[in-house]
Amino acid sequence: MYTDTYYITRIQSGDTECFACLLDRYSRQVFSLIVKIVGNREDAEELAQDTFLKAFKNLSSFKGDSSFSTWIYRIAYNTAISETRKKKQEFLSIDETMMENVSEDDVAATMGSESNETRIDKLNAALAKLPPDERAMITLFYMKEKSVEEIAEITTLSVANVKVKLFRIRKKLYVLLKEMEN
Amino acid sequence: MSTEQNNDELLQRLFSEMKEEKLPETFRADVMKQVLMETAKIKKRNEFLGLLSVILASLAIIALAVLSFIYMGMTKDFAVPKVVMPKFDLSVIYFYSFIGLIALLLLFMDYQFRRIFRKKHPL
Repeated sequence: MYTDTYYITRIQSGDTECFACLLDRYSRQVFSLIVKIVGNREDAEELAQDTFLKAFKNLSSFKGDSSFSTWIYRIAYNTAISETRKKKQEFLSIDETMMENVSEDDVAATMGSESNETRIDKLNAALAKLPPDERAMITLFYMKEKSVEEIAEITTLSVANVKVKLFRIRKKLYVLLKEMEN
Repeated sequence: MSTEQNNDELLQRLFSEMKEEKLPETFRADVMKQVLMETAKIKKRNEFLGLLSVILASLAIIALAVLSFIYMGMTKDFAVPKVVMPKFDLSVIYFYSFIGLIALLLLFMDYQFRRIFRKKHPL
């Protein structure tokens, strides 16, 4: 199994076909992240293609400071978020008092009483109500299992900012899940 | 373990159990097609830029030569030398033709000997 750096070096030397190896490695993850952000398969397919094309065109700018997966996730994140901004969708706003009123025990009681399938359906419904950047962040953390530092690199936010945002997004999800139960 | 940690782990488990979207079947082919088109575009652009650089460099050299002649023409002492074609002596043409024929004959013999040698000692 060759490393990403090996493939990148070969591509930069002119072996364009090698890009298919990187595509095979990361296309599924990138596509699933973009689908979660934009909420639409057709748009996500086009955006995922744009992401890989941008990655190919700018491969010379990849210096290896971060991992290739972080770099391509950053391109995917920026591409998807730009697209959502063009569409100007409205999202539910949840104020601080609502978040404070839902305790961890309430959440445990809500989530503990249902089947896994129901919980996943409700979680998907709750995620759909979040703004795209928050949806992206929580997906990167839980689904893609990226660390806070990697998420900070992908979103170009500070580590402290990411930690605070993740905490608030979790709280928002709990509020939404509790509202669904009620 | 605290309730917060439990909830966090439950959230993690739910996310991991979420079905990941399947890629469209033609995705790989579509992206590689675009990548190869982009490569061809870059190659054409580089060829064009290369050709343009050569043309510009040649023009610059010619312009420099012309300017230098013009500059030299401005000085009174400089005289453009006359180009005189040498007179063609027909008597040497037979001698040089003879030398040329011998050279061609030797080349032909060399070719034949190499052919015979390769037949006798194949690789």
